[in-house]
Amino acid sequence: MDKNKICRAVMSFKAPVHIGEKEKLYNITRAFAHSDTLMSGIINAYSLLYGKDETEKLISEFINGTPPFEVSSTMPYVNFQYFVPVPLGLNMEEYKNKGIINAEHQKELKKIKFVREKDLFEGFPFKYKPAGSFLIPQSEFENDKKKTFSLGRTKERARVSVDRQTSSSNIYYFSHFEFEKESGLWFYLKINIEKLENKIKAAIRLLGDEGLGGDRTCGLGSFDVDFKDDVPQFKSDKSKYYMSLSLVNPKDEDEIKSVVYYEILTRSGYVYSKAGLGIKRKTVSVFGEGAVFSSKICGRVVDVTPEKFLSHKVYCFGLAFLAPLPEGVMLFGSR
Amino acid sequence: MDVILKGKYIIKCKIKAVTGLHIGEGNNSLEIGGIDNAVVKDAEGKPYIPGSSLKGKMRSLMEFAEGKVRDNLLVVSVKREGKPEICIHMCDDLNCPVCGLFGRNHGSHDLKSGGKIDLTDAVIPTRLIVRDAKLIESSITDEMKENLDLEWTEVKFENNIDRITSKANPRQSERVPAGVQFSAEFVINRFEVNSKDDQKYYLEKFIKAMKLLEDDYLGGQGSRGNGKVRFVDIEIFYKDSSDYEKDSSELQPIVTAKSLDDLKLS
Ligand SMILES: [Zn+2]
Repeated sequence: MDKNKICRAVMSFKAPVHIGEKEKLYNITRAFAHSDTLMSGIINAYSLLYGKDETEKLISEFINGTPPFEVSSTMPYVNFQYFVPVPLGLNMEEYKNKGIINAEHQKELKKIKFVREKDLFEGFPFKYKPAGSFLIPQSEFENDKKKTFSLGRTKERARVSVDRQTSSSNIYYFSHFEFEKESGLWFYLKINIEKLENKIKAAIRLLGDEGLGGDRTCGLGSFDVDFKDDVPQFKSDKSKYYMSLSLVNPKDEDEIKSVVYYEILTRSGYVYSKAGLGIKRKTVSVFGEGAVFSSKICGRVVDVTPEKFLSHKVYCFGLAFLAPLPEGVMLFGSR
Repeated sequence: MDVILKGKYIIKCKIKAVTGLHIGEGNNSLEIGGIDNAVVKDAEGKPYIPGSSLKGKMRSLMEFAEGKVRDNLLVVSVKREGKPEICIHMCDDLNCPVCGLFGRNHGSHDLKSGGKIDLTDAVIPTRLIVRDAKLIESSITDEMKENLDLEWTEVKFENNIDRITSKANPRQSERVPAGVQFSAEFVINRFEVNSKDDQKYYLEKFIKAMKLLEDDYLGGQGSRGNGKVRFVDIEIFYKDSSDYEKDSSELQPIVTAKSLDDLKLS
């Protein structure tokens, strides 16, 4: 891989995924991991492979503003077609008026949460129709292979715990998401320090064996990962708009001022380490995926170490993973 | 504490149902006209053995075998009306084979014998991963199929007598028939904890847990002969942590055996 080259990490899940209640991204399933969660998972796996000291060195690079690697949030793929979130502020109505999107009802437009990567970055060259949360080419509907278009489904699992002495049992349920065969999640991976490439990929492969989300010791969330080079070349360095495919915590006033369309999410939770059990980390506000900026911003890693907590630092990764929007993209009020 | 992954032992094998096997769904999906005691099935409608069922049963058997089922070694996991309802073993002994393999829950716990135990200093990543065991379709022969009530399973009527009212409560119960096989995978992380290498300690303990399960039963109605299983066609692989830096590494088994009795670790 060339320096600064981006690749696509494609996760094919070997088991259902359980991601906690708080991960209600995109409101369709709970099967997604934001960039900060994904990043923590990779860093934890890195630490298991290479130890504490080397991991601390790696983290300090992120804090110094020279990230050794960058990731987007996880995004869906269905039938091996890769999707990205709809940029916030995309004027669907205008696309409909121009005959690019064929939708009967207004509310169909509102439901669209994902568009195909190549459609967005090539400026929607075909005619499209909404399929639930996804916008897909009209031709897919006319396709006589009649492949179902579904990411997967949420199911309930029962779990029983049994008392050792009385054998009395307690049953509880939790939900998990089961992906269709040719569907799953993917993310962009950009490696900035070439000599770390093998180690970073190793950490991601290990994360796949360990699993993403909850109930990993029962095999949930485990995946195989494939690193592919078939990503669009984001060559336009002077785009009018950039869209974030990750969570972003802006690093200064200028970055805050450059946001055009956004949604604010709150990231909170507990310190996940043996020293910080049950301790709440500091809460951070971030721009959600799909936020549109008028300039290239970086974002930052935020120190969320609780007050009076001295054992170790706790971080939230709010670095921006940006993609330039193509010329002619129709945003509200952008004419 | 510094925990480093040295490698992973991966045990691949088949689980053979020696007698009928019933692992219930928990009756959450009661359908009118359906079977009221169905077995768990995957998205394709095929029965499978959930990793959690295998893990839960093996943990419980290990706790007894290792002498850990004593009031001062049990923590309260579920309370009902303020009283301990479900108790399981958990401790802070870093060399405990049960907790080392099956894991510990974070934080402070109430002991069954009274008092509290804080496991904070003993929590390390769980070594064992138990994956769902999937049905091996070809293990159901044409002859077996003829005797099945449903595509993959048989349905038995059973008559439960209420012990208090003596009223009969006939109900249908679905089972995976004897002879069916599932493909199973277990992963045991080999760690180095504070410079101390696990070596094969937890692998050996896990094989003991497999033997304990063969002598017991899996799923429901075990006291009526259901749920006897055997592990067959066992292959053990070792994946070194350095293998993760390679694109794909075809692993060769370090040990193979037809059954647990034949299995010899070098
Ligand atoms: Zn223990």
